[in-house]
Amino acid sequence: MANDLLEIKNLRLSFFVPSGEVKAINNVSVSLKRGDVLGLVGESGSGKSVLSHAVMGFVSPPGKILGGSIDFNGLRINEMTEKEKRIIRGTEISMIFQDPMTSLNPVYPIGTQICEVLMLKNKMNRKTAWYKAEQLIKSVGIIDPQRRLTQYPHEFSGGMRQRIMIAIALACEPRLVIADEPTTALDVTTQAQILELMLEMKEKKGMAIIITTHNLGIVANMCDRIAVMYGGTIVEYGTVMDIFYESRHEYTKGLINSIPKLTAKKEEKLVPIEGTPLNMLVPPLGCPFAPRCKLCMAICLKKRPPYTQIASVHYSACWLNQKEEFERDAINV
Amino acid sequence: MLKYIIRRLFLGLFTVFAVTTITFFLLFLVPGGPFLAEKAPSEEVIAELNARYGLDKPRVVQYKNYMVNLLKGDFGVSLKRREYTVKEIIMSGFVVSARLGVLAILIAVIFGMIGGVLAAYYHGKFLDNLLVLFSTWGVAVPSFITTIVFLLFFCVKLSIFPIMGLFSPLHYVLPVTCLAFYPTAYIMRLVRISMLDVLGQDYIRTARAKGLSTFKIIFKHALRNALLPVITYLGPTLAWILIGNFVIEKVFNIPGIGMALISATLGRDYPLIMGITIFLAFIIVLMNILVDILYKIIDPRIRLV
Ligand SMILES: Nc1ncnc2c1ncn2[C@@H]1O[C@H](COP(=O)(O)OP(=O)(O)O)[C@@H](O)[C@H]1O
Ligand code: SF4
Ligand SMILES: [Mg+2]
Repeated sequence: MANDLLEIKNLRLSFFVPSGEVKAINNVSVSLKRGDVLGLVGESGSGKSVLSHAVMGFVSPPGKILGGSIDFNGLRINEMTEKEKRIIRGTEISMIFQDPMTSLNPVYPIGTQICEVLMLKNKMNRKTAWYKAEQLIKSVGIIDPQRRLTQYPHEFSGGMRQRIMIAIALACEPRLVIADEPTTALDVTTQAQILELMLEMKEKKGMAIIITTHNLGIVANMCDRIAVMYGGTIVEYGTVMDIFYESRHEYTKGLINSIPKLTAKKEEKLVPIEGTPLNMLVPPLGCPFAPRCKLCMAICLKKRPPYTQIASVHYSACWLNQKEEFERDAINV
Repeated sequence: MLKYIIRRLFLGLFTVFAVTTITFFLLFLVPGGPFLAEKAPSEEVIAELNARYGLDKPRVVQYKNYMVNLLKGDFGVSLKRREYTVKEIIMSGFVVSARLGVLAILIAVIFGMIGGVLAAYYHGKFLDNLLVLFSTWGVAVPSFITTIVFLLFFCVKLSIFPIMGLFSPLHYVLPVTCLAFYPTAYIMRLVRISMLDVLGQDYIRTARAKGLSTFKIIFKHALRNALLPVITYLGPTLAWILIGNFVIEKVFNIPGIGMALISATLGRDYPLIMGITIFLAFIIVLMNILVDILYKIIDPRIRLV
């Protein structure tokens, strides 16, 4: 798929800590078309941040890429020097982080922090940059931009700060915006507003987005594709429809059942996924979800399930998809 | 802001007043007197001298007289170098001490910050270890030992620098180095630790995501945030260093305030002790106000109340 904006192939990334090797990303392949939105969904510790940081080229010791490739718009990110990566950061790819309260520098007015990137990357002078910054924060829904630009981060609420982060990320009109749990630190009402804003900006500017979350519910209506991550691998991939209504992986089904529903009756309880997240120091031989899976079979413990194509873009890595094959003894258990 | 400064100055005057009063009465608890050390004076002579300087009156009366004179700006006359007023002695000493002190602080701030930033940037690498070694040594070894070692090595053994006085720029090198030694090491440690903390903050990651250069990230985004502890330390240090370090002034025979304070204390030169104490208290108060204002300038979150 030569036309893809981003193509990650067989990526393996580990952290070498004193107690051993943490296999944070274990053979992940995923791609993203121009202008598409990819949702990376999975519980805490599944490798979403590590994967999205790797796309920015943020891999530093004790982390190390052990294999595979990350190609962005014809550039191989994992082979670029720090200096080359610096050139595309902010202009081609930019990032929005989880905690808006700490992601802005407390000692500079937000105007300075927005203009900085405009002046550096778009070679604007201070006056033009300031004018552009005014328009930017107006477009992310901040009123009285002229006065607001001179204020410091602590004078804004969490939601407002995340709007400012979005303005910074969009300043140079990048092709890809990576949003790592952009709403996790916000209250529910603000969450919806921020997601709506991101969608609106996407309509306007046409950039691609990677959004990570542990809450499948909130990204459903903005994603073109969803990749469900578990234990450093993508266990299921497909369209929103595929994932929500045709899921073919036990972990995904568990995630869907644990989403609070507005229409739920009193007696319907949330169903949590039982068990604890994976210890990635000693990943299991077979399916990473096997220790918690209610339908776990003998083969699940021994062999990693391969991807099965369910529909045109729907893939799932679960042995249950190949049940007929081992019933026919086609696969050696 | 102006209101704040005026209020702080007013509070500061109160502090100085308290220090003055406490010191005044504490001095009477110290055994000895200003005229005892002079060559075998007779009882009558001492009594006459005491009477001339009002030392025979009750303490409370002496205190009242001193405070009244002080309000008029009169610090009195030295009991030992009677041809000079206390004010003259302090001023002539201060010019010398402050000149050394300002040079030392400049050196400490420049080298301490550069060292601290480098150590944090090369965290865990060879340069970091080297700088940590230096700063630990600088903080741990008392300044009189460093001073004497330097003196023996550079002046006596190598004879590169002159030993005594302040007669040429070359005379300044060693005393300023010795004076700057501890603060350099201390600032280096402070900057290193707070830089390490700041470099792990989310807003540094944001700055990296913007594609800023390492230089800009360190000097624009990190250093300013890492500066607060340095300023906290710098306030009182600046006060003490301007007043002069009596060890270094004694060793290098420099006629600064530190030296004056030693001879005043040993000689029970009450007016001079009082004068220097008040002067020191006043400078510390000023420096603390300066630190608070600098805080506000560096970190907009801080409110001055
Ligand atoms: N700097 C690091 N050092 C060691 N392990 C790390 C580091 N960063 C992340 N990891 C490990 O990588 C795994 C994935 O983490 P992360 O991507 O942050 O999860 P998520 O964002 O999905 O919650 C976790 O097991 C975590 O412990
Ligand atoms: S492969 Fe086996 S253990 Fe893994 S999700 Fe499917 S059934 Fe469960
Ligand atoms: Mg995360």
